[in-house]
Amino acid sequence: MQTLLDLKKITKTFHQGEQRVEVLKSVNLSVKPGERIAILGQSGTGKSTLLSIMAGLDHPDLGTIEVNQQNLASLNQDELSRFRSKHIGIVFQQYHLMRHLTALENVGIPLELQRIPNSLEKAREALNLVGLSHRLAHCPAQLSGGECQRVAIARAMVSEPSIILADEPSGNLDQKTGEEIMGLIFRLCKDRQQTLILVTHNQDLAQKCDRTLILSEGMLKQDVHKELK
Amino acid sequence: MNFLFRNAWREIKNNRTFSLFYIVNLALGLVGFLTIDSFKSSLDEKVSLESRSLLGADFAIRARRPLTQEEKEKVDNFIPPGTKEVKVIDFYSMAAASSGRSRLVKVVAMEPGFPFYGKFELKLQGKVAKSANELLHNRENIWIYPELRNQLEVDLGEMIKIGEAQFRVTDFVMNDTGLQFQPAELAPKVFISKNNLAKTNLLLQGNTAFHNSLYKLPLNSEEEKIIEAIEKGITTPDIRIFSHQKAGHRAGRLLNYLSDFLSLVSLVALFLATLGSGYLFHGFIVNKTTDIAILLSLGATKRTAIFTYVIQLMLLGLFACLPALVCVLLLLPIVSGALQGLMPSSVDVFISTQTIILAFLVAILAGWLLALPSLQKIKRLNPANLFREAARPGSFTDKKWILAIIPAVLAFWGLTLFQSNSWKLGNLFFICFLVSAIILYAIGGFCLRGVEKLFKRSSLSLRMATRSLGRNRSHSVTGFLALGLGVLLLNLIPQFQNSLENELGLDNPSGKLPKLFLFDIQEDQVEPLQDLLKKEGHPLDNLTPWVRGKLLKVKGKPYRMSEAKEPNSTNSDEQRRNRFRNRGFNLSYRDRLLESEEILRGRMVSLSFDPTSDKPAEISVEQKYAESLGIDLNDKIEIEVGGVPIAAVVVNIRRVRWTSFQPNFFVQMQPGVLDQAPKTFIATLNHLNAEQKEDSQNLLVRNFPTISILDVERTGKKILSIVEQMTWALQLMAILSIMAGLVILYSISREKAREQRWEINLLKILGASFKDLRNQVRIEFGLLGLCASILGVSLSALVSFILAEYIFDKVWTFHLALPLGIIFTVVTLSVLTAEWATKKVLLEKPNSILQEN
Repeated sequence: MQTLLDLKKITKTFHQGEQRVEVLKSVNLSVKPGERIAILGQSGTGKSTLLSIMAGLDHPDLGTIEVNQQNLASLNQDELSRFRSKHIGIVFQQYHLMRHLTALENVGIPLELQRIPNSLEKAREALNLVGLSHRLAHCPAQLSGGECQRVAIARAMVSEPSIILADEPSGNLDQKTGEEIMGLIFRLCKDRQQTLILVTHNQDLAQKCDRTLILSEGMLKQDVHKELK
Repeated sequence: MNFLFRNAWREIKNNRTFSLFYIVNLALGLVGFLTIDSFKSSLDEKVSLESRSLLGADFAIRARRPLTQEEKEKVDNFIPPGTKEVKVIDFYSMAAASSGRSRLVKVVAMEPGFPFYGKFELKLQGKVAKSANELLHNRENIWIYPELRNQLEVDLGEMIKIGEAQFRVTDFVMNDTGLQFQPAELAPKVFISKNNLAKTNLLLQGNTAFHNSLYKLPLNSEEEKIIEAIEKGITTPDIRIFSHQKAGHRAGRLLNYLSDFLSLVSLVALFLATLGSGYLFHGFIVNKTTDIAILLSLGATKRTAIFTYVIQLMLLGLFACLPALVCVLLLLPIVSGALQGLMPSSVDVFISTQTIILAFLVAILAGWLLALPSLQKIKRLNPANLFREAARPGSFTDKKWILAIIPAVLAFWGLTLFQSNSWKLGNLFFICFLVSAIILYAIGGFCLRGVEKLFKRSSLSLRMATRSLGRNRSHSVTGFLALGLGVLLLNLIPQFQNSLENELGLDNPSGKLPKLFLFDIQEDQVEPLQDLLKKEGHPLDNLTPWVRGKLLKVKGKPYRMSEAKEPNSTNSDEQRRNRFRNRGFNLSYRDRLLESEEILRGRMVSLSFDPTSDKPAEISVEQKYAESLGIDLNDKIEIEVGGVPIAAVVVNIRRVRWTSFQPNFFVQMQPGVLDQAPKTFIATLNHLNAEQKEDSQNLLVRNFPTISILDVERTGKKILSIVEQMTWALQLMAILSIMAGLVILYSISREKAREQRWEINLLKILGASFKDLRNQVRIEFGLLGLCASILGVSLSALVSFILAEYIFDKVWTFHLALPLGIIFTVVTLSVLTAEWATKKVLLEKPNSILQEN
């Protein structure tokens, strides 16, 4: 099977004053279409940096990243933006919805950016899928945390990207709502054959994924315990 | 493209308060700018459309003497057959009524046929073209300005004496036309027939009069070429040739200068308004950074994000123009009405298409330029920070914003040059403005740094307020700058007005100014005049000879009038320079300096002159006149007086305080040179009360009808009323600046309250009452207003002092009441504005913010 996402020898270093912190040390990862991968790791180990590099929002210092056989390094900023809007959907821990836009408008934005006609109609369908057809005209401040995250999921999925990057999507929610949200993400990704890369602290959630990787000391390792199980 | 417009529109719709304030702020700045621009366009339009009516002819030749036969023949050679000519003489003289009252009037003695263009508007007869009133030319009748009705206590059918002739008043002139060279006249006009002029016996006795020949060219004549040929043919400096355009420019010049200056002042309001809008937009973008980062993470390019806001600003700029144009429509007639006295006839004001286009351009471009530092922020935004919990995507500071404001500063400079219509004035204004802004910014920054330490051990509210001022320095300094500049402007103009009022001392009976100024005194009248006045107990003072001179050579080179084509010159610098250079000049001689004179360089002229010696005569030259001629100490000039050339050398450069109303001249020659030259005298009468003044004037008119008398008090009041009109207009612009400053203050306090919402609520949780927090806001913004207005007032005093010292004849006095009033008003308004802006956050229940988190 073809590789959808291919990370080769990704290295990223930050400078904190005079101190040099190597967050990612030659990270390699190959992800197949439809695969669900969980990335575990303690706070500050570089999980978010890895996600932002996968999303093309940040550049590695060394190494290459290919999505759908497209080397992201060969794209300029504008091409990268267009590529992201088409192929990558992101779900953030803090939802990151636009405060002044309604749920419907928030979800419609990625479609509008791609100049897809009937964007609001498609956004409405996406919100329907996440069970928010009754909250279309509400702004984020009028929605609960769980509802905000549903809107964010609808927004990530609406343009049917091949990869969904989810950064602790249930991290800001209570356990019950978190489980509902994760169930929703897993279901939708499965239904739509989308690849999911999930950053989480939650071992149980990780168990539900096809593969679990642990980011530690800048390196990505397979979860030995899961392999043994 | 669709997405950009949709998103921009969404931003406007979803951020209504920001949009409203942005629009109000920008509209405020545009109102002044557009009002003055419309007024200028209307004035230009009037001058270009009505210039023929203003002159009453296609062109005119004007001199203080009739043209010689030779000069007349020269002119006749240049004009095409079929050209019509009419002669008019105008001069100042006294008019006396049978009531015993007398007044200085401007007599216009015209031939039938004047004016070729335009109409007289008379009270009884209505509109009269070409003064085709046979009665005026066949009988000794006179038309007078309506104000003379009260001043002379004279009515229709009654007699007025001018010189030695009596005229019957047959109509009142509501509006006249032709020979409108002056923006405002010293005295009301009276119109008689030239046929009757000889009967007054005024010109025979050497009364200084202007002889005008007005010409109407046949259709399709090459007007410009004809005028140019005459100008080249007649180079004598005391003969002036006026095309109708040139006459129009002269008539409108006072208003032109004022509107040039007003437009510069209005630029300050525009600058502050755009600064405020820029500030608002910056706050808006700072708030929006997370949203923009989200947009970028969703696949929008940075260009898309930036252009969304560029379009948003464009739409907001367009919207700001609409209320601004409505306000201009309302304000324009008021401004025009208030400035009525500064132009010979009224200006019909309108908003031109050009002004509307300019409004849109300025509103949009100003918004874009001021937004550059904020848009720069988007360019450097890192959406990857969205993955980091604590980090905000746009939370970084960079000194590079200073580079981003350079285009805005350059655009402002360009606009000052464009609006002032003068390279010199535009640059001077820009530099003064920039220096003032930098001083205010620097001192503001310095004060705010110290203020926190100064109140370290004060009450909690004061401590919190000063801490907030000191630690939010960029907010505070912006507010400081906006208010300081507004106050500077507001206080600067009235300082001049008050200084001038003080100098003229009109309300002070023992003031230094003379009460009556006598001119056109003939040599043979001097003795009997002195005797008469001595007998009356009011001796003649400052008796000074008045000699007309012609410049022949300057520094050995023949003096020629400026080569520049004045009529078509639209550059104010050029117009000013040419007018000064073209003027034939008056000179005198005396053995002492008056109180109003001061030698800047050189020595006093020698008091004895040896006519047999080869040495040139010694002259003293007034500083500005010397500058216009490009001469200095020891330079030689040659003057012709009464047909005799006189070589002269400059021995001193003099400063004259013209506002003293003492008999002063551009050139003073040493005694002994001009004793035999043809001359008249001028003199003053001082220390008269109102009754004595009236009696003396009437007595003089009865005994010496050819002597003209200027009532200095009346003239001073006229000058002050013009100054008042100008001050009013300038203050209106300054008030717009203050309003723009207050909108900025509102935005700042609102923004600060929003930013400190969490802190404010935390303070409430910790026990601070609404009153404590309100006091903190009051103290903070009261202090800001106080410091800014004190500094603004101090700077305005300094600027007015420097300008008075170097430009306006050292007329400077400081008036405390006005600045104190301004400081009080600004502090009060600052406190109220800030309180209004922060009230919502201060009244908020603290648990609402806890619920949000």
